[in-house]
Amino acid sequence: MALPPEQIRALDQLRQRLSQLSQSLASARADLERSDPVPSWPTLQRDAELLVHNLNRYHETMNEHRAFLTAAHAYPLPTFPGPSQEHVLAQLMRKKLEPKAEDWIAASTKPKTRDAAQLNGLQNGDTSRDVRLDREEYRDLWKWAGATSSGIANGMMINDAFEDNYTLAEREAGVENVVTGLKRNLDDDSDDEDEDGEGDEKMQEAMPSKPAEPGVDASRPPIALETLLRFTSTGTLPPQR
Amino acid sequence: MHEFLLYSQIPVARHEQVLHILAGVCAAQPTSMCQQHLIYQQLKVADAASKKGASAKQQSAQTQRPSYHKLLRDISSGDGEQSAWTFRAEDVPLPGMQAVISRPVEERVLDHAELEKFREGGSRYKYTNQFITPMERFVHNNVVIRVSRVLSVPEGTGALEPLDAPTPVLADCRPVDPSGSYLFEACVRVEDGTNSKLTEQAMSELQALKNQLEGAVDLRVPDRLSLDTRVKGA
Repeated sequence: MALPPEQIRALDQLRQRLSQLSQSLASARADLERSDPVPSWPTLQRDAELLVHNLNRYHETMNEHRAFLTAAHAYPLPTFPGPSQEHVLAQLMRKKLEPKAEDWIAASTKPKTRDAAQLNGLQNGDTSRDVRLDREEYRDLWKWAGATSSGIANGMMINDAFEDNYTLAEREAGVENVVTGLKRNLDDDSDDEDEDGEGDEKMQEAMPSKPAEPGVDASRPPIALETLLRFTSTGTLPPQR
Repeated sequence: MHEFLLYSQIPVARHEQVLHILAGVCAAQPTSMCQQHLIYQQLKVADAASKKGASAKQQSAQTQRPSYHKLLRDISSGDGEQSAWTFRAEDVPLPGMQAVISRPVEERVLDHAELEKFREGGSRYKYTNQFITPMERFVHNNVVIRVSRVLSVPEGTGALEPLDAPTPVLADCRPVDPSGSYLFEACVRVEDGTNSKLTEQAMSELQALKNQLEGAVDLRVPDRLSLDTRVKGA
């Protein structure tokens, strides 16, 4: 009936981890219960850290011996003092979790129904509670949100809100008070109409073509490179001039 | 000194664009310059003794015909003091070069005594013409790129002693090319034209630039004899 030594060590290790975890939980709890005033934030933080650390180590150990632990089964030896230690025996032989633990797991993992969410979360304003939506509710929400937001965006497009130099909020509050850092007038709503008509002219005013250089007629074909080089070499002007 | 050159022409409409492209290629903005070139015709061939070194030999090896020589100076500083005149003699480009223009060049700053030879009444040189080149100069590796416009001076400018005459007013000058196109000149200068390692590198750098600018500026080799500086019918 002897287990291989490494499996015994694994169980021993696990026992150690669990006892450390339980100890630190107990001490943290005792601290909270007994100390007056309530322990300071750093102390609580340290306790929490220690807990997390112990949990992690326990988790690591579990993972390390996962194969053995999942395959292992407990069964009592005839020498086990059954009648006197019935409680321990029952706990050891139990395959399922305790009903209390099962309830607890169910409560914290299962998505809540709408009613429960409204009762527990929304109405109480208790935001720490898990307010989850099921798949259908999500679909409804996105159906509604997509259509609504694109409707709003379309409305803004039609109003040229995106093209505007000011935001809607600035428009509502009055454009005069907006600090743009610019001196020229951005708000040219008043001459929107005639801008279309005069657009081309305005462009030409804004970007005047280079002043014509004297003696330059860009429409004429350039003289041959050779002719130009001949001039720079010997000073002989091209004949057509 | 030896020069390797490639040329192109830039129409007015593309001038800005080409400057931008070059600024990108060279990773630097151009230097604006303006040069005044005086072209002198040699009246009689200088005796070999007065010429220096390699260029003298090359010159005497060629037919003893008089050539056109140039005096040039920088006038970009405007109406401030003008830089000294630089003598420049360009040889006829070497024949048989397909990829680039390759020519020996002599260039040196003249002192007062030498300058006298160019003055009116001298027996050596006769003033022929002059031109002014406002230019943008880029440097890319060892390639000097000049985008210039060749301006002819108003008629009668050279009537007075051109060496002492005030710089012609730029506004009065007219481009030699009536279409106003710009002359694009890419040049690598090598001190020793006989050092094949140097000349090969110079040519490969020019070729690399030509390939890089392909499609933007089409560099080409002009007719060799358009750069002929020998005096015709002498």
